[in-house]
Amino acid sequence: MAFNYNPYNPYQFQNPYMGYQQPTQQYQNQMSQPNLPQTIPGQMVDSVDTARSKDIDMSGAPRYYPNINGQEIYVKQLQPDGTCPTVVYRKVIDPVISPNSQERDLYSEAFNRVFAELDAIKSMIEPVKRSGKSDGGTKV
Amino acid sequence: MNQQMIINMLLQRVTKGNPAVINAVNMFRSGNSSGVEQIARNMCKTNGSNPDEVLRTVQNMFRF
Repeated sequence: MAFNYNPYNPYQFQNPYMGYQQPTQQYQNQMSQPNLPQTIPGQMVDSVDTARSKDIDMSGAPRYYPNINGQEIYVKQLQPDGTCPTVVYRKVIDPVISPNSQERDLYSEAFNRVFAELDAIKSMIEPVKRSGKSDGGTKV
Repeated sequence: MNQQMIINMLLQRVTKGNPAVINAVNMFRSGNSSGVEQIARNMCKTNGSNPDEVLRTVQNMFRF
C-alpha cells in the first residue's frame, strides 16, 4: 500500500481511494484571497506638524497619521518627483437629509391648492346633497 | 519579454519600489538631467537636508 503524505496536514494520512481533490480546493481558496495588509503603517500624532516631521516610506507606500483628537488623518507618500506632500483628511459628519425651506414652501403651496380644490368640490356637492334630502330623496 | 520589461523589473527590485528613484532613472536614460537634479533637490528637502550642502559633500567625496 502506498504511503500518502499530506504536506498541509502531516498528522492526517490520506485514503488512497479518496483522491486529492479536497486539499487542492482548500489551497486554491487560500490563494484566491487578496493579500491585504494586517496593520496600517503610521502612528497617532497630536498635530499636523508632528506628522510632517515623521519619516516617510521610501518604497512609495503611504503612511497614515491619525490625529488624537479624531478630527483629521494625515497621509504622507513619496511622489515620483521626490516631494512628499502631507494630505489632510478632515472629519465631516454626514448631514441628515431634510427638505430645505424652498422645497417646504413648494410642498405647502401644492397642499394648499389641493385643499382648495377639495373645498370647491365639497361646496358643489353640499347643495345637491341638501336638496336631495329635502325632496325625500330616491332610495336605490 | 523584451529588454525594457527586464530593466523595469530590475529597477523595481533594486529601488524597492521607490517611485522617485524609478522616475529619476527613467529621466536619466532619456537624457533629462535637469529633471534628475530637480528630483534630487526635492528628495533632499523631503529628508530635511540642504541640497547644496549635499552636493558639496558628494563633490568632496569624489574630490571634484
